Amino acid sequence: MNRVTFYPNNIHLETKNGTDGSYYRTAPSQTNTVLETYLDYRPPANLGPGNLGLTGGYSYARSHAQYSSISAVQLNSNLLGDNGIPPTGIAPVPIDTVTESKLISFFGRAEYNIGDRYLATVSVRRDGSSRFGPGNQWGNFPAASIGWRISREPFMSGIPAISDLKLRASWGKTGNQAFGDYLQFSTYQGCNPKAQVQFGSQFICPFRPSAVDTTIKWESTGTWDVGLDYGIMSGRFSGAIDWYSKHTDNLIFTVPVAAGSNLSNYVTTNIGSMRNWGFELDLNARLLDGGPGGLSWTAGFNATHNANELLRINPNAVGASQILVGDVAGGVGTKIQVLEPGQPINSFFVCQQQYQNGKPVEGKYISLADTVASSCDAASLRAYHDPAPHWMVGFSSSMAYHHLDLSFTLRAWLGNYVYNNVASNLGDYQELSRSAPYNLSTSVLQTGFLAPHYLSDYYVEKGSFLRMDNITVGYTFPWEGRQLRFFANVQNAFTVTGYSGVDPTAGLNGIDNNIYPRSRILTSGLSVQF
Amino acid sequence: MNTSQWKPLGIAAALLVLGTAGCTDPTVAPKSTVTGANFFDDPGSYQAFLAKIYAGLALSGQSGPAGQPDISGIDEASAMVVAMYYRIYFQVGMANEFLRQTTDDKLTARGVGSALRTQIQQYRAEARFLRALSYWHGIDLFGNIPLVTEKDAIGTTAPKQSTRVDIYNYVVTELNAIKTQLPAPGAATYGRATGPAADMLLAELYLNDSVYTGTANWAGALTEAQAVIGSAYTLDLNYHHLFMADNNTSPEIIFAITQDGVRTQTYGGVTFLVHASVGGSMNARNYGIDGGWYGLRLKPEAYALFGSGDGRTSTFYTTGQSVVVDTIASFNRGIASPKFTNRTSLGDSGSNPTFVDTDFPVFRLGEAYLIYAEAQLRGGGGSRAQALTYVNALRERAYGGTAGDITDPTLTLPFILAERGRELLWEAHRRTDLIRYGLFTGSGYLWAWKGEDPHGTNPAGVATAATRDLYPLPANELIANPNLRQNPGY
Repeated sequence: MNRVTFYPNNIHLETKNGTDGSYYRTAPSQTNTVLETYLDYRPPANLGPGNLGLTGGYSYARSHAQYSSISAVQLNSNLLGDNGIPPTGIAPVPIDTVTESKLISFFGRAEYNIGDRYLATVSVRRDGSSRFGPGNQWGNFPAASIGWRISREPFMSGIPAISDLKLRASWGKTGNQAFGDYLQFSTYQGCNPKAQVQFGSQFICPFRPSAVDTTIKWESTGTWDVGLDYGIMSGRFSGAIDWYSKHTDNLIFTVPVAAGSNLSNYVTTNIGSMRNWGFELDLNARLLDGGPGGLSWTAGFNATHNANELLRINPNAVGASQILVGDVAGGVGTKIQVLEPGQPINSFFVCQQQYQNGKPVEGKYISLADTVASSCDAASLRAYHDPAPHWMVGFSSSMAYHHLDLSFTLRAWLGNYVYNNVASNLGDYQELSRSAPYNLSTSVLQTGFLAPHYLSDYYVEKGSFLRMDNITVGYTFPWEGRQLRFFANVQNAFTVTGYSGVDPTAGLNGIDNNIYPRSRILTSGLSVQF
Repeated sequence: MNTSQWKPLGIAAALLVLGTAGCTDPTVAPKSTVTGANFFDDPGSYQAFLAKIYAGLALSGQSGPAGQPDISGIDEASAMVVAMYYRIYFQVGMANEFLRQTTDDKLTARGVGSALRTQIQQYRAEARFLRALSYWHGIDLFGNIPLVTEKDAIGTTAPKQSTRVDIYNYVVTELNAIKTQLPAPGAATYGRATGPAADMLLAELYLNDSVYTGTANWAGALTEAQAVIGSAYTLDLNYHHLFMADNNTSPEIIFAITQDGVRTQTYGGVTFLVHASVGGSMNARNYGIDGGWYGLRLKPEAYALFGSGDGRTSTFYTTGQSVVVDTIASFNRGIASPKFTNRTSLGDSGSNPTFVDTDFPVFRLGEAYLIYAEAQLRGGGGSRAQALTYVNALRERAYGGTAGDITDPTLTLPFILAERGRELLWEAHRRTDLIRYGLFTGSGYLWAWKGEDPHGTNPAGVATAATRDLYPLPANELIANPNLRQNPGY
């Protein structure tokens, strides 16, 4: 796909930043080569009381991506527009790079099914990824599951209300290699023409090796799941209940490492293990079924509870018992989150603010020893809440009556916290004395802070919310033999939250840093069926 | 069972085996990415890698003037303590990796020929010099820090904290081992570390030996200073030429961090020194730049060091500027001192009005004179008359004649400290000098804003604790490396 950006040399932006006209064309291309072969074998006759299915296969996937671009600034003329590059003040810079990756898998599966009542599956995959170095390329990922369709049992035939009931349990291990390419190599990066070094009368382009963990390996997750699928009254009510526990080993993270241990201060490596566990509840219902012209209403409800804990940091990963992550705006190198065993991943790492008469006392914190501290340091910093929701609840509804239809989707998160980086960065009067002052965050009216205090837990706020994601109203009627429908739709209709910032889901990993706000989109239209 | 049903199965199985036999290796060699596997196929790569260690002193990353930073998160901002600590270990890491990649075994395995091999031996000495230079910065600023060498493998294991003394000894041993292997001085090796640069670094280490190890080595400082004085360098006849856009032609500069308006661009380095020194009613064009950054001025105590007739003050700018600095935020408080400029000694402007051509003189002969004199006065041997001659050589250049010459009774240690303050103004020596003289902390010497933050209430300065002779180790680093113990008082 070709994409061209062109800015004429006479617009304010271009003269102000000194580029004096710019042209950028990029033509990225990607080729994926995939080979999937498998053998499926089902013995024609039953084997014992049930039947057996065997599958064995091989898959090969190769991705070849080519990124070509050319950029030019200081355009001498605007005549060519976005069609080409005129003579330029400095030579245009072409870039052409190739990135490749490979994933090879062998897999086998055996299924055994007794009368659709008792089901068992055992499988194993062996995956080889180009993203890991020799000795770490291959991972084995077995899985097993059993199921019991209770509704097929003879004793259930007397309970017609229950149309479907299935109990299942599974365990499986999966691998994750969805990270960047060439992480296992130290790559040498060249310079741009403005970053050369003088050796006598020559100028040399320096090359820099990157930080690397040459022994980086698969991140793997073992999952236990026990669940129940159900259908009641011929499927009028249906859904599932699941309990799960996931144990992830060799988590891959890009983390700061101790100075001197690698070639830069950050490296991508396997840092440790974590556990997620929780349950999921799913219910779909045809509440009313008025037939054509009558009132119909279907609704769906789902709820998920998840708890997360970092179990341990690999002893050889970074040698530290805590890893600081979560860069924020303001200060230099300020980090607001921590990876700490026993705590949820990306927990906020802050000091407990001291309050007097409900007002934060500037620069005063409650230390871990429960004394008042005048600085936020190791004696006061602690893991405090985390950005992941404890509950995610969704409700969708769809109604129809005569020509009218109405549907909406509601969503809620409970128990998630957000670091209000907009307030922490601009919520102090010192911002006014800067050479280029910013608008202050209104939090300063409550705190009265003179200087910024990024690490105060004052800025860690409850991010629970209820959001109407989508509402649609439609009116359908026939006209000259055709079906016409007028409709109106609102996306992101409203959010109910106690969070003081713009959007509790705005930031990445719970750090709200002035992300461009999510828009509310109103759409209306007419659709005609020919 | 019918055998015919097995036939397609057999064909499929054969296809499966055929299809997979050739494709069971997931290895992908990077094609347009340069990695350790192919980088050294080009003989020019050794020089390019060495150049990176030099570049680390001048540039923030692989893209000038900013971008693709060497150190993530902090490099291009201004938290000096944090950035300095990580920069030191970035430099050490680059040098270590260069040494690991250029061992005899590796060179033999790559079939490197003897001419290049000889060249690489010199490069290795330069890498070791640059590592020693960074370790000097490390122990000077932070005290006890980890010692990481090429013998430590790259990984994620947090290094152990070493002592200031151990690193001092390591650096001294290293410099003595390599100083004869370094390139010879001359225009062809300008910007690179030469033998006299190693002597000069040793002189700095010995001069501050009493601070770093508790045991003085004035004789060592004097001997090394003498070695530098005996080498090819001569005093520049024009003091100001040392800080101009064409200072690469100065015969006095022993080791410089090079800058170039077109090819070596950074917002730090001398570009910062030139721009930040300009503001108020000054005309930026007179300094070869496109605008002042309204930053640096002299503390009144620095201004007071200079007597009338001292030509080193000719660049000071006083119009509209006060001597006192009663508030930091206003540029007109304090005398401006645009010592570094982007104009050449011929009166031309540098190649680029934003990024200067002016190199930063890390070591220059003038300082060797002052080290000789100080070491002599402190009992390091040599001759007092010689010390007086050296000091007066600098004075005569400054005064353009003998008007500023001093006589023997004036040649005292406090005079040397003051002369260093004058001669080496803004050349990044003052803190180290004051610590050596026991004046940096405490109440013995106060200067404007000492011990006060920019919003402080006492512009005259206050006494500080002796623990401030060292900077704190970065707080985040204490978490990343649990082996570290913070310096006392932080």
